[in-house]
Amino acid sequence: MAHMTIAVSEGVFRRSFDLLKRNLIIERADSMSFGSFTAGYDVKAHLEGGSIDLRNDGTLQLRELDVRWDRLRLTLGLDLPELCVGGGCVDMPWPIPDICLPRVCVFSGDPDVSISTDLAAFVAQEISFTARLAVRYFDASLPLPSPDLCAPLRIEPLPDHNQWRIHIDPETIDVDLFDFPDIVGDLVEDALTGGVEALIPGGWVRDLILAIIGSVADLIRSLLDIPDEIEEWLSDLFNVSFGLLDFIGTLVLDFFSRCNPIYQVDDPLEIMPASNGLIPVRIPIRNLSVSVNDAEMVLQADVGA
Amino acid sequence: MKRKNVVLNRPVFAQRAFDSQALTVLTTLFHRFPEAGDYDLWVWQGERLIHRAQVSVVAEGGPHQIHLDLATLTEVSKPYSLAVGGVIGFYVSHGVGRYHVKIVQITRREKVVRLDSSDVIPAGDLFAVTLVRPGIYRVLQAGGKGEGEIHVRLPRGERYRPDQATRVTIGKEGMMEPHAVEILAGQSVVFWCTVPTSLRIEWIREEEAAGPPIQRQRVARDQPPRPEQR
Repeated sequence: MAHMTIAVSEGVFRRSFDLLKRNLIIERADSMSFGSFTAGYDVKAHLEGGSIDLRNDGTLQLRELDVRWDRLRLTLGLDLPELCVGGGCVDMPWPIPDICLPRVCVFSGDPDVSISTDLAAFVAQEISFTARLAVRYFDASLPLPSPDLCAPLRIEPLPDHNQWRIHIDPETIDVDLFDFPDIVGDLVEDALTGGVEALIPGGWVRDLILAIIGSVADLIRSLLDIPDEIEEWLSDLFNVSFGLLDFIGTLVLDFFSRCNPIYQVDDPLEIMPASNGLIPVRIPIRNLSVSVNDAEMVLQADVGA
Repeated sequence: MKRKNVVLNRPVFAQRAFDSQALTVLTTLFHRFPEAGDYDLWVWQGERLIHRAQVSVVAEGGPHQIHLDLATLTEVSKPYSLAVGGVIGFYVSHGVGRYHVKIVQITRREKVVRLDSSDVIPAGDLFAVTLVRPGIYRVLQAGGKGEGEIHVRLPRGERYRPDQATRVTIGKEGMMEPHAVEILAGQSVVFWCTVPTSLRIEWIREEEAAGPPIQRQRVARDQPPRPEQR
């Protein structure tokens, strides 16, 4: 039988989890080139809501944790192809070889169009996961791993003494896919179209350039390689190309399971502070274990020598 | 939204008259080198000599066609190498400069002027003009020997490719064959001069309106490998 037992009710556990999750900030920015266009993102989000349930099978289930985007900025840059006149070859009578003409291009320089828009208001996502509680022992005498991947995620600095730490250890994490509504597709397409059209002068010059490129909408879809709906293309961009789903999943996993315990117990544990010139009373903690049932979390430990 | 500074190549749309004696944007002069040997090449912008180089025409190994962009030439360059029967195309990619070219063949005994574009296009050479502005153009030859007409219109829904060229032969007595041609804006007319001549092409008026142009889907391009452009 354990020397020491501590029980934490589901309500207190829920409160502890709320305090912990408030500190999880999802923040990242990057850009990448896809040949005829570049795409970049600058995102920041925090977590809100959700329900947590302790279960008799020793797991806890977290449902519908909202990802609130404070910033979801998308930057798209189009590398417009050269628009040129002339060129081609003419057949000449034998023995004169065919003559090929040079092309003369409409724009000097490389015409690029770039738009940047914040889509935070249009996206809502949820995270759900099932987890177990994991006990880890922090030995302050050991050097930290290098690189310390937890450094940017850690809420509190590491202690200067040994510690038992209880982590929420997700088994499977379910993050909703980015799913942009039609209005976002229209917004992005209109912005790109406006950017391209601003490059083209009016009158017959415009008619000629449009004849060369087909139409601005076709040109944009061709450059971005959009097979069908632009909003589906945008969703794929965020989900797959940017890898933001994986990033969020990994971040949540690392934040809870590796970097930030929900509870910690010092070893040795101070049970009486120093007073009246006497040193504090500390007891070594051994064999700490944790379990959950549908009512509470239970910690058990021995007092070692 | 932000965008880079992009400059419209305005002379492409502003140029209305084209002259083989003063090469400008949208004109190309092709000089053929039927004989192997060494040649001197000079290029002037207005009255200023801007480029000087040697051309080595060899029986085997050289390219059959070189394009020289007169607007980007430096004063001196390495010798150009060309195969016998090959051509150099002189063109202007941008700007409002007016250029002329002189080519002299260096033989053991003498120097023979093979081309002086400020005077005439020698027999066998070609002069190409890419016409962008819709309308009717008149083709004039020096001395008023012959005259022709080019009709340029915007595409109206037909299959459109700017990289298509129409050949016109300048024959005896300055006869143009065909006498009149019709092209779409952005396409080219190539004059093959079988007799020495100089050419001037002038926009004279708009064609009567025939309805708005229809936008078309882009078409896939397949054309022969392009010659080296320098």
